[in-house]
Amino acid sequence: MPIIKFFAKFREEIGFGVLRLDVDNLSLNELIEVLARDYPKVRDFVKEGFLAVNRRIVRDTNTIVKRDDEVAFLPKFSGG
Amino acid sequence: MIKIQREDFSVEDLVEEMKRRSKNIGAVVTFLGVAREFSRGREVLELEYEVYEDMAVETLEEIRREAIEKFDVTDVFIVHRYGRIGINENIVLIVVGAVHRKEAFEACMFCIDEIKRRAPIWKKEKTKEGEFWV
Repeated sequence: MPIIKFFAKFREEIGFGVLRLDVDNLSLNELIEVLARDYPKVRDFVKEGFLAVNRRIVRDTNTIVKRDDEVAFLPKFSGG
Repeated sequence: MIKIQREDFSVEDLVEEMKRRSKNIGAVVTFLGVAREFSRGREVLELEYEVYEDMAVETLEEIRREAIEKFDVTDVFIVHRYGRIGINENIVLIVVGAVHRKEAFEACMFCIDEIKRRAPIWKKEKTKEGEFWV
């Protein structure tokens, strides 16, 4: 089951930081649609921030997510 | 050396450690980011930093390696704090050791710019008017 993580502003808006989803071999687009059924805000997160798969920023939402992957919804960064 | 930690750090200790890295270090440049009281016209009471730790460690390590290669400096330390940080407290420290000052300044500037651009770290400002992710 891929692990889905939300950080900072997105974590607060959705109300939790980590979720496990029982899917395999879905594109990021499909995964976003699965999540959006329960949490429609994720569509805004994608527009507003970045997606990371296995700790790397991914811009192509056709990227396939596998069972053991880690997907993160990241707001714009403000470190430093 | 890369560190992401809740606790404060000593600038002096890390500068001393950098000097000990090589007998050929002729310049040490540091950048210290500090929490300030006024931001966007609001009085800030406290900051809170959140970090995607695994990814941030990898990103900072990548920035460190790039800086060493690109500017041919001896070594780079990056320390970033997370959690609650009060006004005037330390947030981030970059220490660059090099043979000469020019590449040390350039590498230091490169590191802080790249941290702001690429590191998965977020700041929340707590003000009298409320709390804001910025």
